[in-house]
Amino acid sequence: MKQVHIDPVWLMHIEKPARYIGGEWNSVVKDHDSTDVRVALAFPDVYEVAMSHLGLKIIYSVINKRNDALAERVYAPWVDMEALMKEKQIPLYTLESRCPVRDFDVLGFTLPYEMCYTNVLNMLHLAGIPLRAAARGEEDPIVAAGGPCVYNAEPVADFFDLFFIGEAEESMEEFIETYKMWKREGRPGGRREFLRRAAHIRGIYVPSLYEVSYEDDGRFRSIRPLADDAPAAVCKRIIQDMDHVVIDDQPILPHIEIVHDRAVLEMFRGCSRGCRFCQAGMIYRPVREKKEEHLQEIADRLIRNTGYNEISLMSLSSADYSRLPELVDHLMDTFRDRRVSVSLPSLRVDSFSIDIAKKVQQVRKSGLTLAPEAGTQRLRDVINKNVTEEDIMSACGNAFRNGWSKVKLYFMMGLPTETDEDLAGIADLAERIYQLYHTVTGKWGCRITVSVASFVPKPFTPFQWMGQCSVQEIERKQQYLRSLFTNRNIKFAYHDAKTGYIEAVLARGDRRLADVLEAVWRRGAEYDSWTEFFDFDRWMDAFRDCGLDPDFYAARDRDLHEAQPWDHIQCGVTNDFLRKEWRLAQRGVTTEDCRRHPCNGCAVCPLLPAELIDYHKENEGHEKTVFVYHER
Amino acid sequence: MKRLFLSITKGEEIRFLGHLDFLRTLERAVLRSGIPAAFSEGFNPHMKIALDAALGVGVAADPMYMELRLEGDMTPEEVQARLSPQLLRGIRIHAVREAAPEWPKLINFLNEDCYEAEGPVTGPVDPAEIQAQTEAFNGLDSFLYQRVTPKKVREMNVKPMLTEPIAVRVEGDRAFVRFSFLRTRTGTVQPRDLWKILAESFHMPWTPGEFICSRCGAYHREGGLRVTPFDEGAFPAAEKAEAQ
Repeated sequence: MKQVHIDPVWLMHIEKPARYIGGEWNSVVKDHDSTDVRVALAFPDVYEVAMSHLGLKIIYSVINKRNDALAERVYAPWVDMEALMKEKQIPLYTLESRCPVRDFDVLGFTLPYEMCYTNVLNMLHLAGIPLRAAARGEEDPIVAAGGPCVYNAEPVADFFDLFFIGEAEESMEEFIETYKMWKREGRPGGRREFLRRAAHIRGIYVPSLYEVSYEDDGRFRSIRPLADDAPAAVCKRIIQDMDHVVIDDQPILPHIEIVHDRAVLEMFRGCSRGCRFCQAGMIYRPVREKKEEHLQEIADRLIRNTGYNEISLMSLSSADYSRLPELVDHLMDTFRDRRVSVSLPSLRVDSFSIDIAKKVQQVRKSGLTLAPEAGTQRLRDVINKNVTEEDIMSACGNAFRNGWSKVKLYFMMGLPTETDEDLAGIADLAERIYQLYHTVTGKWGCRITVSVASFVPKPFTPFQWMGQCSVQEIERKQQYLRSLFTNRNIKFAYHDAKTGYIEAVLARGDRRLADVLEAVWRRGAEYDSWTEFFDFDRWMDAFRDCGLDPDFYAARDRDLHEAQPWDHIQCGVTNDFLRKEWRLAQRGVTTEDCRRHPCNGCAVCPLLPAELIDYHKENEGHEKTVFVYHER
Repeated sequence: MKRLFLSITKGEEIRFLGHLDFLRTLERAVLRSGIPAAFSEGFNPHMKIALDAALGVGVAADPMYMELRLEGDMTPEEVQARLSPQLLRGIRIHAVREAAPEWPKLINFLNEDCYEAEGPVTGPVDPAEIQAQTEAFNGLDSFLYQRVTPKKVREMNVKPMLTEPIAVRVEGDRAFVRFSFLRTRTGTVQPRDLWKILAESFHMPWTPGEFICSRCGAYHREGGLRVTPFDEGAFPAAEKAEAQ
């Protein structure tokens, strides 16, 4: 195994050099020469963000638990380290062994958000690996990716050899077996043959085995397999039994403080609340809970293996865990004497959530974060948020009675059917919450932060066909809303509209965007999810260079039956169901959560197939009747 | 409440951990080990753990002294046995001893730090010239140095802060300087200052700023004698009282 040489003197000029040294507690170092399959797991953002990602930790454990494989980590170097690496000709290397990434068998990226794509290209370049999969030779690693962005990976399809669609704990094991066999056989047929074999694994998508065509007017026409044995549609993988899957109970302890510096207890996967803007709510279905007793065991192991003094109960909507009160009681009992606190990162907007929050924050009442998402009931019904004004006020009233005085409210703007009246509703709601604090406590001085993001339509959601609000219109809305906030105790914050626009282009883009990504990276783009590095003009120049119109991807209303670049990927939820939801949204009709109500026909359970696992007492022992909704 | 002094290392592998990061790493190791560490009261309890100095990012130390208070009883031997397997590569325990309640805090007890700075040599190396320049520097009674920061310019006399003559050696393409600084309450000269002075004013063959630094000793210095917190009789008054 080769190792890169880094003189410690060089690192003295680098900000937070501990990002680049490895050797953290619980990191796994194995012998390269005696291991069959060597995987470098990459995250295209800086250490503090990368180390906080649960998915990557899980895959690291899955691979390192095997005797025949090893996984090491590599994150995007910050710009100062990148400059040093270029100056000293240090190739991108892994933290565990300082082995150049290029010498691994597999380089596996997590793609958490679209704005990290330029960092992916930058990391490939720093590794000395050809950007385009087609240009890679037999000596180059197989470059793979997983994570939420792979549900429409077409804009980056040319840069990757394959994608893991869905939850990869099991498909990763099958992938490693396949690689090991191919390697032991003497790599017959080269990487092309390996990719052909990998395409046989359920949930693995090999983009080079597919051909894409476009209509004369530029719209996407179709994607078809080039080889007979590549599946016409790639269906996502899920873990059905959440209590018998590899978990990361020995998470790596970061050297420096990271974004989420605490033990993470994943209670369940999926969310069936059905918010129509939310991609996670659609692609991670169905809900599958872990047993409460199992979670207690894991929590205990996590704390014993790390020495963390905080454990976070994580899920898409943590308050929806069916045994949450019992779990919180047990954890608090177990950990009270060990000075370990329990935290809940995502609260529902209702009084029940506040009761739970009250339990876990017995001493310090830090801020409370709620996400009504829209300012009026009409618009909340459009997006199927299923939260009423009464829910919001009772949640806040309960919080104020129990000592909270700081509230953060999350909203979106640019939602379908939105009018200025809905925006005014945001300011109005914030003001009424401010007044409520006075009514409840008799005091003034409640501090409210209203944070408004600009909405980005995503694939596999009922809003996947809608044109995004233009940058100019979003900026007008921001200014309008700003003019409505006159109370000094209410702080208004909003996101950059231009970043949201580029995100919208990439989220629903096709393979032609690979040229734009390469062009913008060549013009110097990286760390685009960081406002200090994002340069909108650079992106517009790249679109111009490539002769592509970003509005075509972001702003155009798509026909409900138009072919989409992600049609060959199946997340289980059908287009028929999404179209029904889109139509219901137009009429402001809500759809109930199928978790405790009848099936809505999204199709995920019968199609995958999969089963909703909910340990709510009323649900136990009953088999749920499910169906597939079909349009006539 | 039992009080322990530990002599440990902050080794090469973790030299780039800053003071707070190193402290957090130690705290988590203590928690994993099951040692009954004491905590402060209040909303936000903190482990009663302290290091003898706040070493900067990039500075290794052997030894590093640490104080840990226990809320339950445990022998120094058991503390060492439990904690050692929980430590990162780069941290080792040399010794653990019980400290009497009246012994001063380590940070107050220690007043001298010995360092070795190391960096790449630039240009030709003339051993005789290095020797002559080293002697020239050691022979001075005073050397006034201006430390320029974006906020202010500070002038200080470096020589009284050095407790021993410096020693310079070159091995291959690396230069090494050993020196000892007095700790003062009014702020002291930093290793980087000395490295710069020697390069700029004494023509040493290296570049200012291009070095790493390791602390190779920390002492209580009195009347030219050095004692460590682990030496017998290091705390004479207190130890005498204990013996009686």
